[in-house]
Amino acid sequence: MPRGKPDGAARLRYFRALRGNVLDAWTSPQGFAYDAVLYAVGYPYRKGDVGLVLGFAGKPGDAEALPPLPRLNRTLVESSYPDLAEGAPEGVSAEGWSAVLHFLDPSYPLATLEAVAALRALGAKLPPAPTLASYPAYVAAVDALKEQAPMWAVPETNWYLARVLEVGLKAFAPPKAGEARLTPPGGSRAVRRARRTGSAGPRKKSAR
Amino acid sequence: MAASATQEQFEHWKEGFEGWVDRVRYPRNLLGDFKLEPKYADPPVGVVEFGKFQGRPKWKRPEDHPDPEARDLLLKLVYIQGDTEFASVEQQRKLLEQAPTAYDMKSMVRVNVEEMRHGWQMAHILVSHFGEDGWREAEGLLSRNAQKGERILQAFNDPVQNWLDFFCYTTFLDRDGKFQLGCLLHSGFLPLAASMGPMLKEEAFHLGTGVTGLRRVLAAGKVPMDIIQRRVNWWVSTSLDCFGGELSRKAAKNVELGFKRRYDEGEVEVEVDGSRINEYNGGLYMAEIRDIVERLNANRPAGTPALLVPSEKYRRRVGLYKMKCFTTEGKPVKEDAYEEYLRGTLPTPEDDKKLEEIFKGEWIAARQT
Repeated sequence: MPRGKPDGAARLRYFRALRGNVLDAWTSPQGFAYDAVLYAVGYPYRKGDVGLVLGFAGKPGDAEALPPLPRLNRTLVESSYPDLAEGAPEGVSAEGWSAVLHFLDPSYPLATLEAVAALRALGAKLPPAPTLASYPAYVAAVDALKEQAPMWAVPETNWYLARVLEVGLKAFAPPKAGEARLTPPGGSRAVRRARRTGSAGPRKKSAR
Repeated sequence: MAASATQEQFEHWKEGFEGWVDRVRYPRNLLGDFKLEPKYADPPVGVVEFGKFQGRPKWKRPEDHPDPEARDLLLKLVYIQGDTEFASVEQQRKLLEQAPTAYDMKSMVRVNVEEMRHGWQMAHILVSHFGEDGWREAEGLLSRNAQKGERILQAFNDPVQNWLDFFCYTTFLDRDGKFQLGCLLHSGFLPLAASMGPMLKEEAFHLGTGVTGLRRVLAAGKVPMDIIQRRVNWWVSTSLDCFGGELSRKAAKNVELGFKRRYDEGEVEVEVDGSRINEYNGGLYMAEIRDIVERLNANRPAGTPALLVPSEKYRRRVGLYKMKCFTTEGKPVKEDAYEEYLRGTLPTPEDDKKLEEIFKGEWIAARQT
């Protein structure tokens, strides 16, 4: 974790809650909305993809600050992770740029207010809200969590670890930064069941 | 062996790995900047957890083990595990160009590269701890080829024809892998136990990719259920074979020497006869996949038949039921009718043709449940 003072006890609490929190998010409407974008966009981006991605991040206006699609794609495809954490065009928000990067290379984490707040609670030295200047440090902090995450904390989903950890951070955020939780504490019965096996998805009654 | 000599040998092995990448024609541009490196993490327990040496510190080197059979048994455990890792990439590689979405392609690349890393991990142990034998076996990981039927376990020579196979493979066969790694996490041989945490962490994505893929196929409702069921029959019976025979002297020896025992080690207290440990772990596997298939069924189109997990007696090539004639429900079938029965319950050339057509359309949905 870059700079700051790591809080070991808080990190353990975060990892203990990670699997359940991610499974809650995975089975939520927000989780489905995320997947809808994930499967819709091309590699490299096609016309309309960037608008979809920025819409998901709540930053549709950022499109104006991005270079034309062919140039943007060249930059994205020819770079190596995590070089573009530092390469944002002027006038783009951290949330928007992180989404542009994430949906092309899901190794980049989405930058959100809640995830930043949670990382700060875990000891990372970051400003209170996502900024382009602090996005490289944010990426490094999530990379550190990727290394530290114990195998028992990681649920069986098809989400990249950067997404798993970011969603876990969002749920772990101190109440002021976080929105309302996606499911009540403890989750639904179906989600609790999924947690036991570690594999994602609720059990449903047979369609027959 | 001195650390520097080991490092030098491993660097030499890495050159061989580059040759393997070329031989299997893996597109290098897709490998990107994935870090291929051995990773070790402290295992959950520092002492031998079972067997006649229980309570002693875990062995850091094979030669520290007092039993003369230990080194050969360990060597085999490591190179068989490594063999499966490279084999899976060889089996799946040709599917990259047929990925249904860009994210599916990225997911397969990640699965493949992580399997390569797992192969590196086993090669690193072989080269670091087993001298010339280890070097020879590390080279063997790269020289055998699944497409030529040369991999050690038959499951890893079987064809992976299409993306439905890929999703079944990552749901069922990679889950066998999870169980094997989960057992080895508690091995008394420290380098092996210390390898498993990072490998299991990566394996979670592979399993999630498989189950989510099947869920999306069912949600789209374009692939007929009988075709999916035949694929499930194939991959479940294939995966179960990878646990080994239900009665096994070798498995008992691995328990006795502290190398490999239960998947649920440390979670439950239960005494299992060492010679029946494969049967025990296979039973845990079957319980897990029954649960998964039951949940998958919630995604199938209304009015279609539910997917079923075939019996552990069905189409076995290993163990107590090897070459015996049982239905998918575990009922006996007359020997002279069995071949025809198998033709109706396993993937057919007609299935492949139908799938080729189906794959030309919108056959897979985004996740909705």
